[in-house]
Amino acid sequence: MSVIETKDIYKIYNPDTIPVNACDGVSVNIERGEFTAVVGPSGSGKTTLLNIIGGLDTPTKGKVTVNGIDVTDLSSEQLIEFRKENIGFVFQSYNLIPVLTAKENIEFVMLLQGKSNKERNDRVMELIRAVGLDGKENNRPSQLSGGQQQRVAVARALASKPAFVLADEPTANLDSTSTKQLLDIMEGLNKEEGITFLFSTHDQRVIDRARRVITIEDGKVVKDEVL
Amino acid sequence: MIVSLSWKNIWRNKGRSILIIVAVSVGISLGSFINAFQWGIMEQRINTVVANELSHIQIHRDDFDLEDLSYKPFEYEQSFIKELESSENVKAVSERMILGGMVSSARGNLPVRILGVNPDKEVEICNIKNEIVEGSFFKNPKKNEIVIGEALAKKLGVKMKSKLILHFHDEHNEDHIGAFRVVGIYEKNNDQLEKLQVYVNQEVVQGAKFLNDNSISEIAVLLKGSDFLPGTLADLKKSQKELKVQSWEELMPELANSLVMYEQIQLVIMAIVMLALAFGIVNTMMMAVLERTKEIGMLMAIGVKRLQIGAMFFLESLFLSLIGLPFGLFLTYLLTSYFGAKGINLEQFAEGINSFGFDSIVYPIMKQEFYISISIVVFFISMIASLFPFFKAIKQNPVEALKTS
Repeated sequence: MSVIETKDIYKIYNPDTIPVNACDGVSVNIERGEFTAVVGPSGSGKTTLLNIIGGLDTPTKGKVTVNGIDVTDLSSEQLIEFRKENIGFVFQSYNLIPVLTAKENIEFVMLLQGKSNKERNDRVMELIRAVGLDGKENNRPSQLSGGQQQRVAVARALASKPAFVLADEPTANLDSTSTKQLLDIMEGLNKEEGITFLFSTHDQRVIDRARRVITIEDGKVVKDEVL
Repeated sequence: MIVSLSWKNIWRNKGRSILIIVAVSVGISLGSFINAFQWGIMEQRINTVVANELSHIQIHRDDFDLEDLSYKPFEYEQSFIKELESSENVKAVSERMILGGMVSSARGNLPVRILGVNPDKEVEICNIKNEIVEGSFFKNPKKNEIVIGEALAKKLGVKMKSKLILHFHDEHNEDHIGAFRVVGIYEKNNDQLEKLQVYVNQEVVQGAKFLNDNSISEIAVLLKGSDFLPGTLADLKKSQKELKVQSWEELMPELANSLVMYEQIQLVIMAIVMLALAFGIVNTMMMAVLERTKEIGMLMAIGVKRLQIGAMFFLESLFLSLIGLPFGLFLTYLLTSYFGAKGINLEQFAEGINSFGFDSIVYPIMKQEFYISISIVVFFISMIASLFPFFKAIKQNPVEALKTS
């Protein structure tokens, strides 16, 4: 069964002035356990597609189904709830809460979900180990390197046990070593725990690791390869 | 979770938060201190009026008018005075004669209010004994002695032992003239009163040389405290229906009204101070929302509800004010305690201040109720100010917010 299914997605910005087709009839299916990269030049519509799949943005036309739920039918408050329960986000610039420690950042979504103290602690320690940040759990983001911060962001994305993780240019701000470490971690989680990852990226190192690459140009899927 | 995050967020930019907290504290304390200063002035003025001029209650003939100085004697029973004096709420009672007249010296003459008093009773009811700067408050009850204000002495060019001619009318409009020797000069820090009011011995004016009767035209009643005023006033009004029984507030409505006016001025001052503080908080927090737009986008993305994000900024604003509040109140307490004991010396403006009947040393007073009122006002103004960042935060669009750098 597809985790993500998009059918004829259109997203038109400025429809009344100078229309821009950020998504022009995009239809893709992402199966559980995929490690997929959406690639394409800047302005091709990668981020818009990820935002629509993630319920951050709504399509002008078309249908998005995530885990069998039609996302396009949800209200903005329902979307917030939907994102909290179903999607993990990893952003280019980490976007951690600077006043919280690594541990607190990771458990933040679980607090929103109302998980018990024990459940939170167990999950946080499990994720801290998984992303290789043992001993750093009480550090604040400013006390961590870029790579370490992005690993905290991955752990945070996984904390709520989401259906899939959306990662928008996750390695854009990282050096080679950090990129390799991060990709090793994400690939490991994908293979060992079956977590679905969907990236938007320019980074060849990410593309090289992806098992499926969807290429978008001018809002259209021009290539969809399983490697 | 949101409360704890808000608390942590206010220490994100320590310098800015501390600056706002200090501004709130200083604003509250200075605004409150100005009010305490005004209360001090008013309270002293009221105490002066009660202790030196009017007492708490005055009883007159039914047609009495404070502005009309014609002699209006009335009948009364000595037993009534004794009953009043023995009341547990009453500190002192003095029967007086109030006569309008003229006082003349070689330099000129001036209209005066002549108070015919029993010196022994008068010193119990007002502070006159302590206000005597030269001589004494009468020496010989049989002689024509007069006690005058310092301002009047200067105006008439007289000194101790000088002779003054007093000219007044009795109830039947008959003229009475007599020479009186100055045996005391008082100073009340109120030039108007010093020029207007002179004291003569009641026994002399009632004697054969003048009115030749035992009449009086005023009974002044000093209570043991202002708290006893409403009850005692109501009792006396009920029992003395033929006479005019009035409190100091009724006798000097302009002073009572000025109290109300001062309360309103205080509110305006506090409102201005609070508004300035509110603007400071709103400005700081709006800046915080702008600086953290990307973070708001991230929070929305990971599943934090708009209301929770709004509440986070709302609480941050509220915390800034509410941390400043106790410091502000404590600072107010320190300022008013220090200056309330030491006084603020306005001697350089003494002439102007005294001419309005105010003391030149002001002792600020901070009423306990004011601490509560100011806390409530600060709380509500902070709540209103906090709504601005609240609405700014909840209006953010997650996609747009995440795009900001």
